[in-house]
Amino acid sequence: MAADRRSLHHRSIFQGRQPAFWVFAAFLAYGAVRMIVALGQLASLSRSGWALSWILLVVYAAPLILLIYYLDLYEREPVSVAIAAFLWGAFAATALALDAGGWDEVLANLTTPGFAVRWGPSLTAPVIEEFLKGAGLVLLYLIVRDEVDDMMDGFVYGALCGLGFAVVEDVVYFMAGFGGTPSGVLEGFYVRVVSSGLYGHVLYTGLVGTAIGLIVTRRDPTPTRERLPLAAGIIALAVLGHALWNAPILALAPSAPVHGAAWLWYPVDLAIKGLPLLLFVLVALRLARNRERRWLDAALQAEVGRGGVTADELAVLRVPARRRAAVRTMRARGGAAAGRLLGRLQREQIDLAMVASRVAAPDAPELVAQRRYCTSLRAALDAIPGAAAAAQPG
Amino acid sequence: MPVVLVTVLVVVVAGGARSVADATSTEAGAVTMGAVRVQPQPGWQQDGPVTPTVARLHKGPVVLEISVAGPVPGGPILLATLYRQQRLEPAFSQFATTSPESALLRNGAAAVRFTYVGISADGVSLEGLVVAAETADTSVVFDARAPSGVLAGALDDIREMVEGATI
Repeated sequence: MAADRRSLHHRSIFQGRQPAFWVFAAFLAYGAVRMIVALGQLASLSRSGWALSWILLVVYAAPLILLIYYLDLYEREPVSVAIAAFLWGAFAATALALDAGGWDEVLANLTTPGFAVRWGPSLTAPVIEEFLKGAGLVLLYLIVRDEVDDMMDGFVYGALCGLGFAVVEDVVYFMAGFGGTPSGVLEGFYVRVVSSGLYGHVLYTGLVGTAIGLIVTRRDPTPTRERLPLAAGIIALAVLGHALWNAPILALAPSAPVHGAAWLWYPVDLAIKGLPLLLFVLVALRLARNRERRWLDAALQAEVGRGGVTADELAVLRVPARRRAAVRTMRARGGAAAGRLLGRLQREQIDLAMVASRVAAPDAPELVAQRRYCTSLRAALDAIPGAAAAAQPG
Repeated sequence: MPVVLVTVLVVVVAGGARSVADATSTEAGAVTMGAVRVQPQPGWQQDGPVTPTVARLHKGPVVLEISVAGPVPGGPILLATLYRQQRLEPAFSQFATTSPESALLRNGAAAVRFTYVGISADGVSLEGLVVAAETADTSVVFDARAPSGVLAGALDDIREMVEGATI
């Protein structure tokens, strides 16, 4: 019974029986070797600049990783899968994008070098890079199908993949494009991260992931065929946003040498290209959250009174702030163990919603098993002195 | 089936680029400008006519411009400075360089090199590498430039052409 319950969720990336896992691992190993060699060569330009690049990018990426990871309010993605998405973007997608650099040559051969220099970055890179990052997300889905439930999951994996790509690309830019010296790295960090760190690959690949989540979702009763046009539109928007960012238009940054307050023009200049897409993504995330809340309500409403969740628990569960407050209250009144147990009960009740939305009948064995598991957790919680009083709403 | 399809598409997009680029390019022979002779690396093509003083090679969006002149009294450091002031700075709306470094090319010529980043007058963000070299009777400037982020992938080719040039 426990095996039935566990098999439905919280899978790790290490699924040796899935062919997609070995394809993913092979591309990742190739990319890691290729990029470690390339990054090592850049280190020879300036070891201090190289080290500073990584320190600055860790400072930038760490809070962003947490922000992305905690975007999905109801269901945390498995850590190993989230890490795999990041690593695909950092190593596999960047290495494959380097290999695909020949498409710029094709463009130059078919047009002129001048045209390729001017328009190549906005014509080839967006299509190729979004495809290569998206291919990793599709492989991830094929490895752990149960962990990509809806658009929000797709966004989380996509944004992490895009962030991985951006981090490695930034190191290359700091070292090769900004000279690699500590002062050059700081200038690059200001232009590429401080002024524009919220735009770029995180948004583009987040949108690609959202589209993949929309296609594979099991929470939307609309036939897949009818969801495809919207998914294609979202991917097209990501590619167009990337193309606009790379295009040699709307460049309003001040001329060098830049002094004093003129540096403040960089964020303004880059916001003109990046802010519209960021605002679109924020609105889309808001809508995706509302969609998740509606799904949770619909999935658990029928479960109230069947043992897995009570009406009071559902009222708390559907509002993340109330969930956290309930855990804090439980910890204060019943101790740390009681707080942890309530948090676990809440996670299992969300899993109950996922199981309920996947099975056809209300007496499906895995659904019954999940209800019983929630009931047993509640019983264990009630047995802790002080916990029962803390569990009362209000 | 989906795994096979994704794998094939990734291999075609990443690995096929080289084959298509090679199929659409024409091999360039050695380029001679006066006393300077440069052997293009595989995949590099001539861009426009070769004159006794200027030749342009390109591989995709990466361009190597070679300018040949007589000796400059101040040596390669002055040659590099003049090139920066007279050729590069007027061509960019934004421009920054690293400090020039002295070097000795494999062919024995004394040289100075620096890298630069800039935004061209038509808004393209570029990065470049300049090597200014001089012998007793000839000076030559190699200026390799590419859109930001692209030059690093061509550095080996550029180094080979510059170091292997007969001056």
